[in-house]
Amino acid sequence: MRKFRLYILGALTAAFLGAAPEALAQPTVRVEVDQNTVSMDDTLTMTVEIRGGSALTTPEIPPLGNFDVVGRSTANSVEIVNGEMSVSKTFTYVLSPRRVGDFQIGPVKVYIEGQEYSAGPVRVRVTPDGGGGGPGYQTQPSFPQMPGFPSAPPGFPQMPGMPQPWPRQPPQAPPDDKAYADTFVTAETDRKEVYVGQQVIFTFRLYSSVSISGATLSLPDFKDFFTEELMKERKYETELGGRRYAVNEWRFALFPTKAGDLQTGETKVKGNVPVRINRGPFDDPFFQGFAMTSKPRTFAAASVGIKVKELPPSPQDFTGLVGQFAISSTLSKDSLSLGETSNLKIEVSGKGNIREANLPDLQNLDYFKVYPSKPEVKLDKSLQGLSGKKIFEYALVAERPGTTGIPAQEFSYFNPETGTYEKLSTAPLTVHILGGPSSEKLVTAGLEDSKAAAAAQGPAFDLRPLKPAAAVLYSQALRPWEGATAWTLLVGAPIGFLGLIGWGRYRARSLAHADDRKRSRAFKQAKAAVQKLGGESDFSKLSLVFKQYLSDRFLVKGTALTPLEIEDLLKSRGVPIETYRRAVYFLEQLDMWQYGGAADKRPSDKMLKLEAMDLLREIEKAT
Amino acid sequence: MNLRKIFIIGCLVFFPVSARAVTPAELANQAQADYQAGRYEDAIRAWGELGEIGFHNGDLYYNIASAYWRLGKVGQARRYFLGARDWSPRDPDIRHNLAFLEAKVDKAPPAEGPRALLRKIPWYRLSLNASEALILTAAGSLGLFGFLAVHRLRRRPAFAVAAACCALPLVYGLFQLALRRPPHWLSEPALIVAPRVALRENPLPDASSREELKDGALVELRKSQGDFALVKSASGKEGWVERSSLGEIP
Repeated sequence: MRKFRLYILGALTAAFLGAAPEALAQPTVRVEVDQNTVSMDDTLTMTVEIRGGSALTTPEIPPLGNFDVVGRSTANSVEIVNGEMSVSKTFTYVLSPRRVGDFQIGPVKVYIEGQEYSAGPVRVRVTPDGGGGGPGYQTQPSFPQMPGFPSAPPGFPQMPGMPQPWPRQPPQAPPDDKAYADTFVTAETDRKEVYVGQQVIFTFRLYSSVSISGATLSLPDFKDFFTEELMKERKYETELGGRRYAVNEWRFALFPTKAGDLQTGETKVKGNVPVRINRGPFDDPFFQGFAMTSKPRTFAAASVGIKVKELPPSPQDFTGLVGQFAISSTLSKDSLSLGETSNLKIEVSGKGNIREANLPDLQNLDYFKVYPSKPEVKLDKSLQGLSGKKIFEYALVAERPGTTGIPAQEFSYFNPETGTYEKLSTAPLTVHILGGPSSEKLVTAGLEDSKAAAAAQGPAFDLRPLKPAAAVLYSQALRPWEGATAWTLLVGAPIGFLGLIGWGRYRARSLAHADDRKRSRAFKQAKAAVQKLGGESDFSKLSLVFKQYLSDRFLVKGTALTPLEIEDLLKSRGVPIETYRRAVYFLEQLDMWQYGGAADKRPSDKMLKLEAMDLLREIEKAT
Repeated sequence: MNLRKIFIIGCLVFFPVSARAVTPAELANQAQADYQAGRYEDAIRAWGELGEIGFHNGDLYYNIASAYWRLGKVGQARRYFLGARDWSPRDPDIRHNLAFLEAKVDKAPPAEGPRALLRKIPWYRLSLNASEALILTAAGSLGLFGFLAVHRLRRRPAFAVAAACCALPLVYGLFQLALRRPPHWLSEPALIVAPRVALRENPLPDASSREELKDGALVELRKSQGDFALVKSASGKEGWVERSSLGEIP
């Protein structure tokens, strides 16, 4: 598969660079037109197809004096059929005739690697009448009855909703001045007589020489047809009877589902058209620009009749496909090992309702187990109709060694151009499967119906292939440290979180009770501090212990309390007068002994400690 | 020179040759070659050696199971396919082969109705093996409780949202972990790995048989006693089978 992709990539690169033209098929040039007879009010599509050139190749179109090129497009495609690659480039020109007559377009020349290739010329007849169209065209212009609906004056201003600028088509021969109203519609089909399932192109056009706003299309239900819209809305300008018209065009591909005289149904378009107001004495052309209003109008095109014929008796392999088609098949690998897969791709392409394409089941593939994919449909919508491709893909898993073939896949379709059934067939393919001669036999020992099961399933082995040797050389088990880490994280994360919560609560509780603890511990700490004091008459330390006690006990910040502050503090806390006066006196004495030089008159350390403890006890008791 | 010296010299001369280490890649290639040549027992032996030296993965068990299937040992094949599924639960090949084998062994009629529709949805693509489930659970746990802790400290809603996001992998990982490693007291699956095994009333070789269990039948292991094990069969009957006829899922 990878090789195949690389091959495609390489081929595309070569094609787009024009570097490998030798890999391409013999160049061919083809020119064709969608109709050989065209009316002056219609357009002609010329297609130039170059196969085998490079992406830079362009055709040399001769002067088109009798036609104007009103549109052009280019399409590239690369096809690989049965291993052979071909590059094609399609140039499409939309031509509008300038005059009536028989004309010749071409020949068209192309230069590839210095060699000239040419195609054409093609002959085209241009008819004067607007309703004629090509051979088989049925045009039914419908002129609405609009009493009192005047023509718009020249140079009438554009109304909103009408896009500008539109592509202009050259003036055409005026068929009949009176035959064209300001606004009218036409509905037509490219064929009057078709087979069931054959493509018919239905075209609806709205011609307007005045500006129409809010135009909405109302389609018939096409109940006897399968319908595919070819384009949303095409806009251009044309000239009829000496008047310039803006044209809005819609196209649909119709596929009749039954035989008989069928009708497409009436097609309508609604929109607001400008009308002039009669202003009595002021009804003068000078005031026309100020005397206009818009009114809703409905324009209807009559139903178009189509005669639909039954298909002739069909062969068995006909699946309902009608049109012109081709088939191709590719295989991603034609040499593979047991258990490997090769992709078979079958592509049906052509013009018609490609959705109807169906392949019969793959037969006689004893060497493979077949896994079909859902078919993929790619539609190509253009003015010329519906075409496209339907791709069928199958994954073929090799189950038996040997050389085998994939037989041609066939089915029939009906070609309405020839009126006959034609057969599509792919080329047979050969595949080489490598592997041991009998290594893949089905073994079902131990099962009661093993032989019957094997017989019923044929030689296919239903277990899927072995995993490659290199695929088993790894371990999905965790290493011990990996497992331990994972379990630690798994269990540790919630434990850690719970720990965080517990710590937070403990901390909050501690903060809430800190003051109580401080108060309750004040006496104990003071007592311990007093007993710890040495015998060096350290009055400052004793004073500090005493003040620290007062600070903790009464939750006062700092220890720099003056005797007056201590007196107020103790008084406010209900300490008896003799106790707080004694305490103040004791502290003043301590200060005096320390700073007043009266240390020789002080009592002994023991007495000081006893006095201090006695005071602390009394304060503690009182509070 | 006595015999002892000759033996020692002989060992020194021949040891480097005889003890030449076989690399795992060589062993894997050898197993593959044995399998392709139809030497399934040799292939199983070689893959078994890879398992013994630490290569535990679904692909290895898948290959062993395929080789057992070729040998006709359905029980062993199913056992290793189940093991392979536990290691590589998202591998469609293993699922396919196991379904194929179980269809042969159990002969269960295909499910119908909504259950069949539900079975068609490839839920197994979301499965995890035990290692993956453990890593996912650990990461989810770390994320959930880590973000909760940060949210508790910083009080920002973004951390709460992040924690909620981490709860999903944690729950899913725990669910997958429970699926892969169910607690032994809840259920311990085992397989019959012998052709026909009698489910006996007592742990004795000549005890009367309650049921005959086929090769590959799934049973529930209750307890072991000597050479016998008490099991519960799929039909709900309890009885004793020989320990040697029972295989646990690797």
